[in-house]
Amino acid sequence: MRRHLWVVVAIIAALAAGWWLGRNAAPARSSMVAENANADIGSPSANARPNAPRRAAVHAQSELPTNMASASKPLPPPGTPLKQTFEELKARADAGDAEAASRLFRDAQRCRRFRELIRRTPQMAKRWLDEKSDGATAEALKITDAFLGMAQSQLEFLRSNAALCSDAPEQVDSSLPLALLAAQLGDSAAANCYVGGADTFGIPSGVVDHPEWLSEYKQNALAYADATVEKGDWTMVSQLALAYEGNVPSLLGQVTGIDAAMTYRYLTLSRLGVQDNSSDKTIRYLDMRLKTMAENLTDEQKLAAEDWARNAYQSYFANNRKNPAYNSFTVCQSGGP
Amino acid sequence: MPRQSIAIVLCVLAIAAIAFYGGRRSAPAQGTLPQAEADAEKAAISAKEKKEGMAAVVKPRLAATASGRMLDSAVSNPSERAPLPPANTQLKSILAELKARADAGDAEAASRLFKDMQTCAQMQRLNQMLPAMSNRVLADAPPGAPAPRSERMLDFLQRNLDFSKNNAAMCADLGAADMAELVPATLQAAQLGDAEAANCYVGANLNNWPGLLDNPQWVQDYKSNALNLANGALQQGDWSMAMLMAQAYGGSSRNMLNQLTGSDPTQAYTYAKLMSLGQPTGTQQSQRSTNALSNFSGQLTPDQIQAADQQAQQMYQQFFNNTPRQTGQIASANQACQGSGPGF
Repeated sequence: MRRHLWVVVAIIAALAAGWWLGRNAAPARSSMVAENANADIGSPSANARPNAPRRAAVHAQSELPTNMASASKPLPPPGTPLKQTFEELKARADAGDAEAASRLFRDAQRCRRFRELIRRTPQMAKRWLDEKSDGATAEALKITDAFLGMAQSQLEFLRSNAALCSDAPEQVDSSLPLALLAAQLGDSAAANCYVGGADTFGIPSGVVDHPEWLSEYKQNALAYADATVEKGDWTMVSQLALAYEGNVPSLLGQVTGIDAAMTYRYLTLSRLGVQDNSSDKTIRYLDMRLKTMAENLTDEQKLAAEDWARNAYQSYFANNRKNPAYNSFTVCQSGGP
Repeated sequence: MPRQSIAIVLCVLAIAAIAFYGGRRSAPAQGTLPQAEADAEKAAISAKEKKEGMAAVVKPRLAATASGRMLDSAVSNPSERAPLPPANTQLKSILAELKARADAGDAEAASRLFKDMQTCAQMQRLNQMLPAMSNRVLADAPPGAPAPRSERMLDFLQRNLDFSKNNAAMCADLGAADMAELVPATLQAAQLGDAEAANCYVGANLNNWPGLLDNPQWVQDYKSNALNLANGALQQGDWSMAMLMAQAYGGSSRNMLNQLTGSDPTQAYTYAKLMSLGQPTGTQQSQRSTNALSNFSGQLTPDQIQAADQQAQQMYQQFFNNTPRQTGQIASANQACQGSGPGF
C-alpha cells in the first residue's frame, strides 16, 4: 500500500507544487473585493430583534426565478472543468434552471474542498509516510495507519477532481449565494447548506466583503428552513432544534432566538422518526434534551408542540419515516473526505 | 531506469506543468490585505509587505498605533477622571455611563464595559446550557457510582453554576438591545489598548455576536479594524495574537480572520516559526509548531524558507524579546471572550 501511496503522493505533490509556484509567479491583478464596500445594508435600529422566535418574511415568490429544469438543454457532462462551465451554469441558474443551479452548487462545493485539501494534504501525507515505524507502539502504529488511510482518501479525492477543479473561478468561494441560488430552485441539500451558514463552522466564506449577505440571510433562512422541513428533510429538523435550543452558536440561531417551546416541537418531531431503544446512548441523549426542554414548559405548551409534531410527521414525513439525522448530520457536503 | 519509472516521472512533470499554469491563472490579486483597495496608504503598505516581508511593514503600523494611543491619552488622563463604579455594580444601571466615558476615550471605562459585557454574555450562555449539561452528567453518573470523568464534569458544572450565581445580580435585566453593545464595546476597548479585547475581537466567531443580523455593518468594521489591531498586539509581543495569525494564514482558523489574511503558506510558516521561537523545546506546543513548519515548508522554495526564518527571527527580536516564553497553553480568543467566566 505504501508504494502505491507514494506514487499518488508524488503526483499530487507535483500538482500542488506546480499550483503554488504558478500562483507565486502570476502577475499582479487588480483587487476584486471592494465592489460591495458601499452596499446598502439597511437600518440596524429599525430592525431590532427581541430575543423571541419570529418568522422572517418569506422570500418574495414573485422574485424567484421559475423552475425551468424540464425545458432546459442538457447539462455539460459530469467532470467538465468548472472553469469552462461556471458562467454557463450560473447564467442558466439565474434564469431559473434548477438542475443547473444544483450542479453549480455541487461542483463549487467540491472545488472548494479541493482547494482546501491541495494546500495541505500532500505535505501531511509525506509527513505521515516519513513517520518511523521502528520501535513504535501498537497504539502509535494504529494512529499512523488511520492518518495514512485518511490521507489516501483525500489524495484520491484530489486526483479524481483535478480536472473538474483545476483553475476553478474564485467565485466558488462564495458558497452562501451559490447555495441560496440552488435553494431558491428547490434543492434541499443546498437549503440545508445555506441555512447552516454555507461554510466550515457556519461562518460564510466571503462575508467580510459582503455584509449584505447577512441581511439577505435574515430574510430568507427561516422560510427556506420551513419549506425544507415540509419536504420531509430530517437534517433541517435537527438544524432547527439546535438553533432554537441555543447551545451552539449559529447564524440560524441568530434568526430564531432561543425558544424552549419551539425546541421541544422540533425535538419531538425528531424523536418520532427514531425507534425506541433505551440502550442506545444517542437516543438517551435525545430524550434527555426533550426532558430538559419540557421542564421549562406548561402542559399546554407541551401538548401544542406534540400536536404540531405529530401532524408534521404525518404530513411531511409519510414517505421518509426514519430519521437518520437525530444525533449527527453534515451540511455542505462536497462528496469528498 | 525501467520504462515504467520513466513514464511516472514524465507524468509527474506534465502534471506539475499543467498545475503551474493553473496556479498562475488562479493566483489571488497581489497585495490581498482587504483594506488595501479602500485606502491608498494601506495599499502601499500591503504591496510593501509582499515585497519586504512582515517585519519590515510592522514599523509604519507601529507608528500609526503609537500616535493613536497618544491621542487617546490626551483625551483621557486617568488622574482627572472619576473613579469607575464599584465592581459588581449592576451593569444595566451603569452601561450608559461606561459607554459615554468609553466614547470619550476613557480606556479604563472601555475595558470595564468590555469585561462586564463579556461576563454577562458568558453567563447568559451558561444559563442556557447548564440545565441540559446537568441532566446529561447526572444521567451518566447516578449517585453511588461516581467515575473520575463524571467527577470532573460535576466539578466543572459546579464552577460554572457558581460563576452564574455570583454574576446574576451584576447581569440582571439586560435585554437584547443591551447585549447588542457587546461587539462595539469589544472593538472600542481593543482600540483603546485592551489586549484581551483585541484577541477576543480579532479571533471572534461571528455567530457569537448578539445582534449581528441586525447590524451587518459590524462585519465592515471588522474588515477595517481587525488587521490593525492584530498588528498592534503583535508589536506588544502578544503570543495569543501570533497564534491567531498562524492559524489564519494556515487556513485553520474558526473565525473571520482568514477572510482578511487569506491562506498563505509563507506567512503561515513565518508565524509558526515565530511561535516555535518562543516555545521551550520538547513541549507539546513545540511539537505542534514543528509539524506546522514541516507541512508549510513543503510548499516553499529554500529561498522562501530562509526569508521566512529571517522574518520570524526579526519579529521575535523586535517585539517578543521582553515577552515571557510560552510555558503553558496560550489563551485562545474564545477564552478572551469569556469575561471572568471559568471557561470550558
